[in-house]
Amino acid sequence: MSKRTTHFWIEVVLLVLITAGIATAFLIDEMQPLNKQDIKMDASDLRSFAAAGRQLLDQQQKGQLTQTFFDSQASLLKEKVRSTTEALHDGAEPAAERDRREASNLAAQLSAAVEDLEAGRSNGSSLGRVLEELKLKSKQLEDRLKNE
Amino acid sequence: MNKFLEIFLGILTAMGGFVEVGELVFSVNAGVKFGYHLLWMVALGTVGIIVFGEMSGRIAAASSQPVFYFIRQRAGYGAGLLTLIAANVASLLTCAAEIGGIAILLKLLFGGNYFLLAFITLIFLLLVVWFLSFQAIERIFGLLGLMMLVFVVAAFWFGPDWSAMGTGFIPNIPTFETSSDYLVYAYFAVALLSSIMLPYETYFYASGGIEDGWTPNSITENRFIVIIGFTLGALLSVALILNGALYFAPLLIEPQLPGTAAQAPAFLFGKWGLILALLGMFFAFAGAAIENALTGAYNIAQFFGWNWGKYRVPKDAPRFHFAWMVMFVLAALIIFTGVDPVEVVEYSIVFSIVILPLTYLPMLLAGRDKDYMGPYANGWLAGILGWAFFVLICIAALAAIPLLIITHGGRG
Amino acid sequence: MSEHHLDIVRQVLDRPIVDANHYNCGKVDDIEIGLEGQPKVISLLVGNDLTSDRLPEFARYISRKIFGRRRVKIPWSEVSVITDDIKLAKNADEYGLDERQGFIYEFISKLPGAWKK
Repeated sequence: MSKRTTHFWIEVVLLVLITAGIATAFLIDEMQPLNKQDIKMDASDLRSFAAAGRQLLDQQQKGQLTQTFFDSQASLLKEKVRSTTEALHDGAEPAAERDRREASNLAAQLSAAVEDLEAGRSNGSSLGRVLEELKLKSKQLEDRLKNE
Repeated sequence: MNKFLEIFLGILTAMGGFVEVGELVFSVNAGVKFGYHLLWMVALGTVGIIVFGEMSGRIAAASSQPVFYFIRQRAGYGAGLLTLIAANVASLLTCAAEIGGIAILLKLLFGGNYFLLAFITLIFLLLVVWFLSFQAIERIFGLLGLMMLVFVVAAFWFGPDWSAMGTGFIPNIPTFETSSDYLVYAYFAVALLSSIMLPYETYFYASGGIEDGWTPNSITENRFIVIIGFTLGALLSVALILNGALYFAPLLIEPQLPGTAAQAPAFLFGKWGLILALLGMFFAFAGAAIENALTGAYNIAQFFGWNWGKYRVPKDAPRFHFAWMVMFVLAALIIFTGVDPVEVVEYSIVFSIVILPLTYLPMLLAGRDKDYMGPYANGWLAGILGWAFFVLICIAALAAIPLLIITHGGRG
Repeated sequence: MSEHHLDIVRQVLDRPIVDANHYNCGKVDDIEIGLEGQPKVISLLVGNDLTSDRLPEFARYISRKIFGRRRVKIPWSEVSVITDDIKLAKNADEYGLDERQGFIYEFISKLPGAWKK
């Protein structure tokens, strides 16, 4: 083989190895069950989403937002909550299973609350309180997992 | 009088063009997570972009040749091509993030389907860049981006703790409970630095200087604009951090949607605050999208020796024009895959800092080359600062990807 | 730089080429040097055939597959002035280096406003 051809094949092999390596790393990461760290991050997302929903409702009721903004932001928030809810359906490590269920529970409640938010069902002041409560519960879970 | 007006407009344009979607997201979140503690990074990044902005402008004014001419000549074809591809991938990702951000803003302003709005954004950008002159584009988007000053007013209104703010400007590492918090702090520091020193800014600035017909006489004007304009622009970044620290942090909100930031001025000023913020963001993001698409086209045309520039009759620079159109279309296609623009922003910011040494080194070498620059080569100040920042950027570039992975994108 | 001394690597290679009207014609991708007798520059070479040669093997292969193996030869006698760029004696199309052809040009030149300013 000429020097040129050798170099060519070395480069191809290197490229394939690097790409395969990165792809494998990704796949392995995806397939890992959720650990406490992952659930903590999801809980912190839930906390943030609940707080955002609460504030969105509050500002809307005070007339600080346009209806379009409220509707669109609520719908975008709903999307975000849905994606976190789905992420929590993955399997968890045995040690983290209880936490996963707790987080999943909160996610389901938050999903319902954000549905109400988007549909404009504020139920007087009770939706606000529900969101506030979910925010605090998520924060508690988040803090607990942080210190473990 | 005319000269002063030119400089004044230049300053305002530089200021209005300072913020783009990545900077917005990272600044607000940095404020939420770390209060005043990362203000020093904004200051540091601003000095950095001033140093390299001034250098790239001076190179354009002194040699009438854009930076990519020099890259190929001095680094050779292979290394130059690698730099070209890297810079253009960074610009493509940034452009995509801006387009996604704009689509979200349009949805918040007018409602409608996100993908349809992204498509409308694409058409809008194509038409604007094709039909408007370079100067008109610069001015319109830069000046209207200044509507984001509502965030500065809001920051004042919220009442920052001035002495704490002052200490925040001194480089510091707060004490955290867990070690992962330190890593997240480092990640945000790197991301903030990157979002302020994005590579396209210097390339665009240099090419823009040639579009504007700069000569060595323009060097002082360039300095004024860069120093004052970018410093004022940094004010917007600081204001966003303050909005994060003073409004969102107590509410425990970490904004993951670009539109959420507008809720801060809305809280203080009602619907008008909201609309001003959203419109300001629209023009800032659109300006950034345009700059990135044009930068991609400038880079390719300058590297291969094609005719380029909006100052030319379009049919005489066919490949250049085709190139920026392709940039917009590819960026829009990325958004059409449905990926979250904020995620794209994350990757574009990390990728940008990783390649930043590659894009800044040629500039540093061109700036000090007396053959190239004659009497306008780097003085001692530009030289020292240039190399100091280059070292800083290299450290940040090495740390970026490990930090991204370990902190799961800054989430902990 | 001096009038009697031309550094063909620093002052010619990878420099922009412009035609008689100062219209860009690409860059000097390679230089053909004659080595019989006194070494001298025979021509400037432009095209992907030459630039792809300067890349690592795999990149060379991909580059040739996508962009072809075009090469354009400009006799050294056609170079009229060398300053920061290489100026040629005639117009770009007479050397086959005018970018105003092909499907990109067809597309751009047909858009409204393409001939304005």
